[in-house]
Amino acid sequence: MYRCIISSFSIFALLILSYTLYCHFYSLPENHSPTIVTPPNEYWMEWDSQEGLKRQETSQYKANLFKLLRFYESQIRGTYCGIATAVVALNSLSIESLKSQYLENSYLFTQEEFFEGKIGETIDPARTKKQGLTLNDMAKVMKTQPLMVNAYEAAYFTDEEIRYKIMTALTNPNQTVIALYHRKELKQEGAGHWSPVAAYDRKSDSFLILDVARYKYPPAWVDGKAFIAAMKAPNDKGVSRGFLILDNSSFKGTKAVLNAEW
Amino acid sequence: MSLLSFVVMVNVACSVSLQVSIHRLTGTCSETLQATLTLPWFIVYNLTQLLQLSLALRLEICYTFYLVEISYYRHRVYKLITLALSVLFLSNIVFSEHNFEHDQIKLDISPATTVVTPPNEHWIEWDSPEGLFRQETSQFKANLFKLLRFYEAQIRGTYCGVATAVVALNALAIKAPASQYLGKYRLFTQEEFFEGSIGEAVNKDVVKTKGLTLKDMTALMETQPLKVDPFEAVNLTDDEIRHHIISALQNPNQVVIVLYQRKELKQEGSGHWSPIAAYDCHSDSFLVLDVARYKYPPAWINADTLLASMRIPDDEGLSRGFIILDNKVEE
Repeated sequence: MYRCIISSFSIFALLILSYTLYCHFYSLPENHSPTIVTPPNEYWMEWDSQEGLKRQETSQYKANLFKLLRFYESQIRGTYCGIATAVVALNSLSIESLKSQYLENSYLFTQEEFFEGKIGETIDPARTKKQGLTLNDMAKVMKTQPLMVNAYEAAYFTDEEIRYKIMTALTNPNQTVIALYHRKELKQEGAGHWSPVAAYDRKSDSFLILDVARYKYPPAWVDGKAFIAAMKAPNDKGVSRGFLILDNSSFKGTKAVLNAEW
Repeated sequence: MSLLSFVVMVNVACSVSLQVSIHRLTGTCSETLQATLTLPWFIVYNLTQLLQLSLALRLEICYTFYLVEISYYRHRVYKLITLALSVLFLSNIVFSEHNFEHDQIKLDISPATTVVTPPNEHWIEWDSPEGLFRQETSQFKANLFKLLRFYEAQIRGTYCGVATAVVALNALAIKAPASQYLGKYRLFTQEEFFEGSIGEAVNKDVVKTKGLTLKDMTALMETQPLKVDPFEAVNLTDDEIRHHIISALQNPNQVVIVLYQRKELKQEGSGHWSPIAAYDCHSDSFLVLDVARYKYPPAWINADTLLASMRIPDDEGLSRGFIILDNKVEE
């Protein structure tokens, strides 16, 4: 009996050992795309690396990942990170846009026509094109749409609170998280940057950020601590960066428009 | 009471899980499966709770049944397997830091307003459960994540070809000409597509009104450092087309773009360009990343339908088809 147990377990162990060895020696080398300006470091890794793909598969917090990927696009100007992020978020939440003059009879938010209608009235297009969007501006923009908007200045919350808020939003298919953070904290090229958050992996404590500056960086798994520190970094005027949670569930099928004051 | 529901559970398990679990065990571990693994399954004897669970987790619940079922075999080897598995399961439960608060799965997912006509027998949405399963288990998706990284919507009604070319060129990491908007960084964009050598190869105004034909696209791609293989679908058999596309989908240096007729799929519109991102051999279908994102989502299209739609000639009698692009140019 014992001999049977020992032999079967040793076979089991051998199988596992041989499989791990196989994985170790026959894994494909990872080559980096030339559209990556600086290589991955200890704070972030590429989403299509082996580890990144594994995190994506096993992540429990990715209710909106595939909707975001469907509408994921790159910013068309150097300062348009906020606009590109807003466009991705609004399209993925299936908010009805104004009729486009370019896309015959179809509706889609685009960066070209972003300032048409109410959005152009609430914020100053010329200033935005020059400086980009602040957290306050973004909240104003989102409140012109049929959405429930929660804006969080990261400096007022503890790390655990921020993590918990983003995690719960990522399990809800009606919610999308967009974050404003400072690239320097992640040792990336650039300064303040907007991007949607698509998933969270609990084991490695990291967020999947769909970087809208696709000519610089790929979508990346960013270390949770570094990312939260990057959101807490203040901007030039000393105001904290942070994140927005957008919810389309309470306004389904209606065209309610909120007051633009925040 | 608990014993009764346990017996019922085993009966249900025997009928369903034998077919499903063994077939599905060969697939990869999905998110919902992980949720099931970390649940304390030995406590879940309550039948109503079970029904709720099976609704939320769909077929993946059968994995847990599989364990219970296998312990009913009398043979010594099966008992050993059960022992080993249950040790693994228990250690998973004890040592995982899983937070059960977040495991509520909401089922009222609102459909996107941007689907013009609903999915039919020829295609399904990529983020439906079936679509996600195909994506996870597909073996032919070497370039899927590179394509997804650069996937974008066409910015004009006739720009499907331009958008497809931009996605393909960016995914193949071809160096773009300098842009006046992006500073020192380089990226192909639809706005500045006709700058440089591409504008010389094709007539800009014709493309803006009519879109790109198979010939135009070939001419345009040949200006870039790429090996371009155009295929007219009429000249090839079904098996040949399948073979060409599938072998390209296995190669990380190659991207397939396809020109097809939408009417064959009962979609709105006519001729259309899009990149192909993956192939699933079980359902015999291709994942097409539709660049008209305001109309249709990425979709798994039945191979037979897609091949038939490539064979339909355009208004001028020119054949549709597909192009295989390779960025590994021998010097």
